[in-house]
Amino acid sequence: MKPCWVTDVRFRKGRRNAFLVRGATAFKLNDTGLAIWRACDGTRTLDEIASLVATSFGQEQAVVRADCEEFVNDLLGLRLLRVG
Amino acid sequence: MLVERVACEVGDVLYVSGSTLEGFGNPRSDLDLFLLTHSVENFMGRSRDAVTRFGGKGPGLIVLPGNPSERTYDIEIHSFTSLERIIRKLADDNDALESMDAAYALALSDLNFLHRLRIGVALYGAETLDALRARVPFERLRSVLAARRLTEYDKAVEDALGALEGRQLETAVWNARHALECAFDAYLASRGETYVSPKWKFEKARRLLGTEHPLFQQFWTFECNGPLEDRETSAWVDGALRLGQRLAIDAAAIE
Repeated sequence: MKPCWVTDVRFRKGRRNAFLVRGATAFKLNDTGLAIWRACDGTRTLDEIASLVATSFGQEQAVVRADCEEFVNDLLGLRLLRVG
Repeated sequence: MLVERVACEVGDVLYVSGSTLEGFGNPRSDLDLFLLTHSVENFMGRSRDAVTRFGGKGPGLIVLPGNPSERTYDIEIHSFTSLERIIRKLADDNDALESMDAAYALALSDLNFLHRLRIGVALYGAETLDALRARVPFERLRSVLAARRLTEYDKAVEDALGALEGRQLETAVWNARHALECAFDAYLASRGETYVSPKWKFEKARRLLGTEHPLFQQFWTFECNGPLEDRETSAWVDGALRLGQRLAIDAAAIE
């Protein structure tokens, strides 16, 4: 599975917060969520995304992998990502 | 010689700026001069003679004939007070990427003026110009310009998707192309290309990315080629919107 951004979901990042916006609904992202979402460009598998995020945050990939999968599944459920 | 012709006084700042200075100009490009002075009215009075002698076309524009290259000089005159107002608005702590009010607090002409201040080369009052520039938060100029174009991008994406759903294919193409252009402008601005005019978009992109960069090549392909058949349209719109989204995400992610 290679998760991918959805065209009608907009991304905004200010100095303080980052959001995904669809219609009138905004979803606030923390730093980890933002790193995962940005990595979901349709070219990377979950393993590759976990590896990228783990490197960014200085964590073990095995530790990050499960969190990544759960978060990506949440975003897929909310249609903030799609399967590429 | 130029300084003499535009009747500068102690305390004034005169600088040259614009596309020619950025290396984008062509034989028809003007040379843009900017004068900062304490009182525009006072300047207009003392420069009236210069306007008369040098073939001026009215307040704010002085064409200086007799230049060997026959280049036209346009002069914009601003007061220090108006510059202070612009600096205050730009420095406002509101976040342009989160607040539409912050993104639109300054007029486009003000943003253009700031860009030209940023790259200007002093002809008179160099120390004052440097001191002024040191007070302008130019990094905010990037985020304000990016935020404005991202707002337009959002609207164009909605319009393109709506048209696509309604099978208004030509309208979908038109709006997808506009969305992509807005996203590309936001991307350029977020990376420091703060010259507002669309006139030099190609030059700005070439300077920033180089023509071999995949983003540049993809953008150029969409800009220069539309779908030829109806059956290609949905895929073309989808591709343009996806590229626009990547550019918009990169633009919005600036720190």
